[in-house]
Amino acid sequence: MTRSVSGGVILAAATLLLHASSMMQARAADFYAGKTLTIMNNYPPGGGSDIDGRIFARHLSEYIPGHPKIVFKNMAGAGGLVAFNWLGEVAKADGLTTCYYTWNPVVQIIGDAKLRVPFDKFVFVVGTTAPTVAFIRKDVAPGINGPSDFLKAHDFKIGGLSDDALHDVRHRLSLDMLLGPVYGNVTGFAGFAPMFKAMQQNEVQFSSSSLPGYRGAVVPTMVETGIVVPVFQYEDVSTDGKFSASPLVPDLPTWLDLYHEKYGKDVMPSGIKWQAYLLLNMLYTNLLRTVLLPPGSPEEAAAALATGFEKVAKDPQFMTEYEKIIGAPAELIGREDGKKVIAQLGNIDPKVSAFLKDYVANAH
Amino acid sequence: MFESFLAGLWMVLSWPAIGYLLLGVVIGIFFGAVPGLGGITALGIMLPFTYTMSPHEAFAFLLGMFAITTTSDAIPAILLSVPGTVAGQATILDGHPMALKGQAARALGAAFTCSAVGGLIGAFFLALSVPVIKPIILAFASPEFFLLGCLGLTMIGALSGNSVLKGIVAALLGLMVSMVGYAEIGAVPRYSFGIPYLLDKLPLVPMVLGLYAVSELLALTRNLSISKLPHDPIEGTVWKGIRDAIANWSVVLRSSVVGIYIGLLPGLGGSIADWAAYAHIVQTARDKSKFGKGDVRGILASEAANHSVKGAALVPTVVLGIPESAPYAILLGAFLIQGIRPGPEMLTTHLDLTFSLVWTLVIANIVASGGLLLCANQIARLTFIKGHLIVPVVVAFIFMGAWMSTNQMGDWVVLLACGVLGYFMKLSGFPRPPFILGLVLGPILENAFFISKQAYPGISWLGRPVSIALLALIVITIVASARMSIRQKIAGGNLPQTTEVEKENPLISLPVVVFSLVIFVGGAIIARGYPRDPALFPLVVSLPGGVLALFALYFDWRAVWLGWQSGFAGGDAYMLPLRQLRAALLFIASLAIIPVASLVIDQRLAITGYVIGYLMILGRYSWWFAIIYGGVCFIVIDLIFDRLASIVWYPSLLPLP
Repeated sequence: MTRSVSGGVILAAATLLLHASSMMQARAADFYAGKTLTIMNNYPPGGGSDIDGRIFARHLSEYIPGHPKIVFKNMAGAGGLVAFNWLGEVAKADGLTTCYYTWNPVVQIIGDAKLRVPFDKFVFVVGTTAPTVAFIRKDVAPGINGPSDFLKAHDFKIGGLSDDALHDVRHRLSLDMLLGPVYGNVTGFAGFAPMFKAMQQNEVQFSSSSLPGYRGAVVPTMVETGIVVPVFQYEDVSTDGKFSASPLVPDLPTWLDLYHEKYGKDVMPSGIKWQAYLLLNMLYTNLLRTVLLPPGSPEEAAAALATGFEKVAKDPQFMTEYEKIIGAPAELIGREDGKKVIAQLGNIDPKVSAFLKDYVANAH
Repeated sequence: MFESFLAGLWMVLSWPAIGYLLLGVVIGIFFGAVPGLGGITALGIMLPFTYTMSPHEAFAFLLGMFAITTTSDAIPAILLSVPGTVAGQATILDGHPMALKGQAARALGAAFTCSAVGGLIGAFFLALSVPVIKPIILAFASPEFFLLGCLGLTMIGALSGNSVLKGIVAALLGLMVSMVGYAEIGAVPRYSFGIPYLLDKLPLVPMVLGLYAVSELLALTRNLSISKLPHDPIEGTVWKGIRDAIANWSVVLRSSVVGIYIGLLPGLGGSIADWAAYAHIVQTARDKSKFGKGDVRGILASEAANHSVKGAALVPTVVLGIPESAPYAILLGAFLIQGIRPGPEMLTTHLDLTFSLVWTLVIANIVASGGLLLCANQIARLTFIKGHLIVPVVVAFIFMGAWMSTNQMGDWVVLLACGVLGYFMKLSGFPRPPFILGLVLGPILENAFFISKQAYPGISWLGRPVSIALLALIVITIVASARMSIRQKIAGGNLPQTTEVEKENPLISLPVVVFSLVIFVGGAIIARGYPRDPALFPLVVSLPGGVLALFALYFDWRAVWLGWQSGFAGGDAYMLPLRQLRAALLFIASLAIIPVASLVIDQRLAITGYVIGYLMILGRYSWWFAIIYGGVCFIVIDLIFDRLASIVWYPSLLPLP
C-alpha cells in the first residue's frame, strides 16, 4: 500500500472514530432527557449506605446529561442479596434502573448459589470506597492502650454479621496471620448497631467499621467514653498490588504495619491466607459501594451516569454536605478503575476460591 | 437541666416547628389508619423532606408523625379487624367484637384515650430516664433476650383461650415459618427451594393482613354491615369508652409499664408490646370470661402498651445510638443527616433537643387523640355502611399494604395463602395470635440463643443475675397459669373462648392439622441436610410440634368419627361452616385475579379493575358509580404509592408510562 493510500486510510479511520465518539457522547447526553432514573439501595432506609446514596441522589440530576428525575428506593434482605438478584433478573435493562449497593464479593468467590447473577455480569458505572478501622476493647488482656499493645492481645471475641460476610472473613484472616488462634468468633448480629451494643456489653471485644460508621457511631459512644481504642486500618491494595494507608486516617497504622512490627519490617506474609486476604482487601478497600446497571443495559446510559457521578463528586456543595453528614469525604472510584477491580472476580486462583469456601464453612 | 427542659418546649412551640409537628400528626394519622402503611413507611417517605429543616423542626415533624400512627391504627383494627400497623394486632381481639355489637364508638373512645395516656407515660419515662438508664439497657444482653423470648412464649396459654393444644401447635407453626429464609447463623438459606423470594424471611405485614383481613372481609361480602346490632346509645358511646379508660386505670398503667419495658430493650421490636400487655392483663384478670368477645380491657392493654413503647424506644436510640427496631433506625439516620451524633452528646450539648423529643411526643399524642376523639362518632358510623361499599377499598389497600413489604409478587402470594390459612384456622379452632407470636419471637429466640452460645462458655450465660431472675419469672408464670386453669376446670368453668375461634369444626380442622404435621415433619427432614447450627432450631421446634399435631389429629379424627357414626347429627354445626368455607375460597380465588392480571397490565389498573368489577357484579351498582369509585381508588393509589412512596411496581407486560 502506498503512503498516500495508507495515510488516507488512517485519516478515515480516525475520522470515523471521532465521529463515533461524538455520536456516543451525543447519545449519552440525550439518553436521560425527559426520563426518570430509579436508584435502588440494598439496605433499609436510615442505614449508612442508604444515607450515603441519598446524598448523591439529591445532587445527581444536575450533572447527569439530560437531567433525569431521580427516585431513590430501598429493597433490603438476605444481607443485600435480594436487591442484587432483583437487579440482575427482574429489573429491565433499559438504563432507567440503577443501584447504589454495598457488595459482598465473598459470595461469588465461594460460588454461593444464593447470588444468582455474578457481580461481573452487571454493567459497572462507578463505585465509592472508604477506609476501614478496626478497634478493640481496652480491657482485653493484657490491657490495650494502642496499636502496639494489640499485638499481645489474647482471649477475646470478634463480632460478626454472618460467616460469609466479607467483614467477618477479613477479620479472621487478618487476626489468624497477625495473632494466631487467640480469639473466638461470634457471628449472627443483625447489623452493626446490635454488634456495637454487644461490644459495650462486653459480649464481643473486637470489630471494625468503615470510616463513616466509625466516626458516626463508634467514636461518640465507645472511643470518647474510653471503652475501645482503634488499633489498625485495613490497607488499601491497588489492582497492581501496591499497599498504602488511607490519608483520612493518618495516625493509625495499617494491618501490614503491625505485621512488620511483630515479625520484622522486611518480613512479608505468605501462604494461602495471605493470598485470600490480599484479594479481599483489594476488592473491598477499592470498592465499598457499587453503582451498577442490569446486565445488557445500554452503554450510553452507563456513560451518562458515570459522568454524573464524577461531576457530583467534585461539586463543592455536595462535598461539604457529604462530609458533614457522613463524617468523611466521598472517595469515588471511576469506571475504568472500578472495572479493573470487578474484573478480578473473573481471574481468581481456584486454590484461593477453594480455600475461602472451606474457610467460610469452618468459621466455628 | 430545667433550662434545657424549657428550652426543649420552646423549640417545639416555635414556628415553623409547631407547624411541622401538626402536619406530621395529620400525615401520621393517615399512615396509621391505612392498613399496611404504618410508621416505618411514613418515615421512609418523609425523611428526605427533612434535609433542609433544622434539627428540632425535623424531629418535630418525623416524631410527631411516627408517634401517633399507632393511635389511628385502632380504627381499622376495631372496625374491620384489620391491623392498621403491626403494632395494632391485639386491639382486634376485643375491639372488633365491640364493633360487631354496635359499640364501635366506645371502643374507639377507649382506644384513643389510653393511647394518649400511654404516649404521655412513655414521654415522661424518656424525660426521666435518659440520664440514668444506660446501665439497665446494657444489663440485657443476648442471654437475657433469649429468656425474654421464652417468657414471651409463656403468653401462648393466655392467647389460646380454650384451645391450648391448638394454640401451642399454632405457635410452633409460627416458629417454623419464621425460619424460612437466610439464616445469619451458618449463612445458609433455609426452606427457600431455590425461589429468590424465599431467600429472605417472609415479611410480617402480608402475613398479618392475610391472616386477619382476608377472612374478616368475607362477612362483608354478604353485604352485611360491620355492626350486627344497632348503635347502643348507652353502652356504646365515646364517652363510655373514655370512662372505661379512667375506671380501669390500673390496666392502663400496667400495660404502659409493659410497653416501656419492651421499648427499652433494642431488638425486641415494638410489634410484641401489644401482645405482651394483652396477655399480661388476661393472665392477671380475675374475670377472663369476656376477653376475646369485646372486653374493653383488651383494647386498653394493647393501645396503652403500643404507645408507651415509643417513648421508651427512643432511649436506646438517643443514649446509645442503638435503634430499637427498623423505624428507629430511620430516626437514627435522621439524626446523622442533621449532623447530630446520638450518644453522650444528647445528654450534654444537645440536651435541649432531647427534651424537645419529649415535648413532641406529649403534644403529638394529645393533639392526635383529642382530634380523633372528636371524630370518633363519625368514624364509628362506618360500621353501619353496607359491606359492598367497604370491601373494594379495603381490598385495594390490603393489596397495596402487602406490596409495600418487598415490592415483589411473592408479597401477594403470601397475602392470599395466609388468607386461606387464616380462614381455615378460624373455623378449625386454631387461634391466630399464637401463630403471629411464634413468627415474631422466632428470629429473636434463635439469634439470641446462638450469640449467647458463642459468646459465653458452656451454659454460664444462664447464670447471669438478670438471666436467673428471668428464668424464675418463666417458671412462676407457667406454674401460675397451669394452677389457674386447673382450678377453673375443677370449678366447672371454661377458659375464655375468644371470637378468634369460631365454633370448631373437626371436618375443617383435620386438613389444618394435617398441614401442620406436613410442615413439622417435612421441615425436620429438610433441616437434617443443613449444617449443624442452622439445623438446630428447626429440629427443636418440629419435634414437639409434630408430636402435638399428632395429638390434635387424634382428637379431630375421633370427633369426625363420632360425628360420622351419629350421621353428623349436629347438622349445621358441620355443614354451615363447610358452606361458608366454599364461599370463602371462592372469594379468595376472586382476589387472585389481581396478581394474575398484574402479570399483564399495570398493578394499579388490575386493582382498579377488581374494584369496578366487584361493585358491578357482586354489589350490583351502576356502571357509572363503579367507574367513579374505581377512578378515585386509582388516583389515591397512584398518588400515595407511586408519587409519594415511589414503590417499585411489578414489570408487567403493559406497564403504565
